[in-house]
Amino acid sequence: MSTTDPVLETHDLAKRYRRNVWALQGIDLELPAGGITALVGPNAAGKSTLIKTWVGFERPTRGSVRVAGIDPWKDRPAALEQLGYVPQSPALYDGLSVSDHLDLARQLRPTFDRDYARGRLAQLDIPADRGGRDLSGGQQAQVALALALGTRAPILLLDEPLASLDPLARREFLHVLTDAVRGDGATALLSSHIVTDVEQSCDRLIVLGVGRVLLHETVAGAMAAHAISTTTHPDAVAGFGAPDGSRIWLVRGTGERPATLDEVVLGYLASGRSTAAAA
Amino acid sequence: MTGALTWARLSFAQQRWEILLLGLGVVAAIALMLWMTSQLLGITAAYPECNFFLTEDQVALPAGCELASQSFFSSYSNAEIFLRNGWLLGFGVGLIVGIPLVARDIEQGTAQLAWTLGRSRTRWLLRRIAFGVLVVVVLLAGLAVMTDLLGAAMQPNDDLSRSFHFEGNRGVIIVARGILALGVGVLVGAILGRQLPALLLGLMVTGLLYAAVTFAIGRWNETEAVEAWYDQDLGAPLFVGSGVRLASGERLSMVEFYGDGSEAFQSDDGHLYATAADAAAERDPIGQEYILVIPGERYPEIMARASLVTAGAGVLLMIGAGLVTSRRRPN
Repeated sequence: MSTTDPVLETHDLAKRYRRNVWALQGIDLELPAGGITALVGPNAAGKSTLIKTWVGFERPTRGSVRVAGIDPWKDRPAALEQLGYVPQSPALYDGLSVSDHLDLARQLRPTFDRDYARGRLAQLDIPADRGGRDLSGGQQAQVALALALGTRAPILLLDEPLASLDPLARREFLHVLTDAVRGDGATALLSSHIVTDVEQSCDRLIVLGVGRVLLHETVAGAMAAHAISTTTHPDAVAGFGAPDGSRIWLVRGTGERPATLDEVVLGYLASGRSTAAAA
Repeated sequence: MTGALTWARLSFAQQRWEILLLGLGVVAAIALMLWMTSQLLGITAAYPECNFFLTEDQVALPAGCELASQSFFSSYSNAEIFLRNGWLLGFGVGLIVGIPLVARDIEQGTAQLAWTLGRSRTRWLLRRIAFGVLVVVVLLAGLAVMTDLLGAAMQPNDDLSRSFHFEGNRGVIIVARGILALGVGVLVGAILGRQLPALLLGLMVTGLLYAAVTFAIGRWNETEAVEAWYDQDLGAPLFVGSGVRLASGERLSMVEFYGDGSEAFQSDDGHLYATAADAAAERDPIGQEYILVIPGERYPEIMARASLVTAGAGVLLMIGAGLVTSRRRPN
């Protein structure tokens, strides 16, 4: 696998749950190596399902997924070796201390870098002898992140780790993540529905809505390519309500003022919703 | 070795409360049995001249033995209740250790952590099960030894290593049942992913499987049973079945012989006669009732086989749990 090959791929990926609910439909994605990609979308957009197909927790109904060129359903051990994963709720073992969790990780993955993970937690003053469940939500998330980082895996998948954190804990978490990814040259995919939190940290943006990819671009590119118009526009992606109650349109091209990342995301989510409604 | 110890320490930490609780229960049961054993042995040793189990040529206890006999059989009754029901602990220990092995990780979300940190879920499960088996064996081995000791104290005239007395209620079969229940617990827990429903279903499945395994072992034993007569000195064999051998040599089951309304008069040695007069004169027997038994001397072999079949069924269930775990979602 060359350095220019995508590290995370999906081709025509579709996932259907029971009762004929489609969580993902026709997802084609190729993520290059390096940097942090934000996977943004509302609840039930399919963010977790997408990440879980890469982890090997969900089997695609149609299409294929690849992790560093490996199909996780055909060779899960090899795919997992490339991955560090932070689940949506950082569930830690009830009877184990933070230090025990690091020992457990070492038992499960002999290449786990315990000292590295311990060092990261020490920087955050997280006591190693404290029970996993006795930590605050932010600290638990940090332990889960340290466990993922300690794998030294080239790819990190983070499934809404910020959802239950307060703003300060979110900021700290993102700081540690950014620092680690930039330092190690890893690739991270961070799912979230809070755009402002990921704006400063992420290089790329994927907007997922109603099970489809609505936008996949670099953050800088997305900001540069979009603008806001206060009137209907032939190049409008979609219209949506502004905070003051007025209606604004996200346009691809020039408009009356530059769009914020939040507005870019909102515009594409609105377009996804209207497409789904029309369908 | 260090790795195994670390794994054992971490595994214990994850299940410390149920292991400690079960450990306390088993230790209490062993202590109680030890006390009962010492009581029985004490009475037997204090009255060496008293044989509490009358032999055929004895009609009464020797003088002065009545009180000691009452005391012995009072302790015997208590011990028997315990021995006949205490083996259920084997199932309890197996289920309570087995169910959380996978189900708790799924229920509490930690499966996502374990299944992504480790490369292979099968390897993870194998190590979890290895710890579970270790706990079950350690806890139940003491119980198995103690039930043998208690049984021996209850039957001071028998060599219980060559006797089917209290068969199924003592010895290594208790450990094997623990392994069977452990297998049920792991599999049901892996399928349901919830501990309480898994416990309820596990109890039912264990009961059904135990019945099935017991039935299969019983059929196997039947094929190896030997025919014996009631008046034979059999010691303490395993009773497998009975029937009637006609004078012609043909063998009929009891149902076949008596089912058509046939009436027969039986002598003390099991011979059957067409009339009461024939029976009284022991003349022209039409057949003889027989029993199918496995002699007591085969006890170690038969119990080892039953234990292997029981534990083997548990191992098969654990393999099934491995297949389920490798394919299922972590939540």
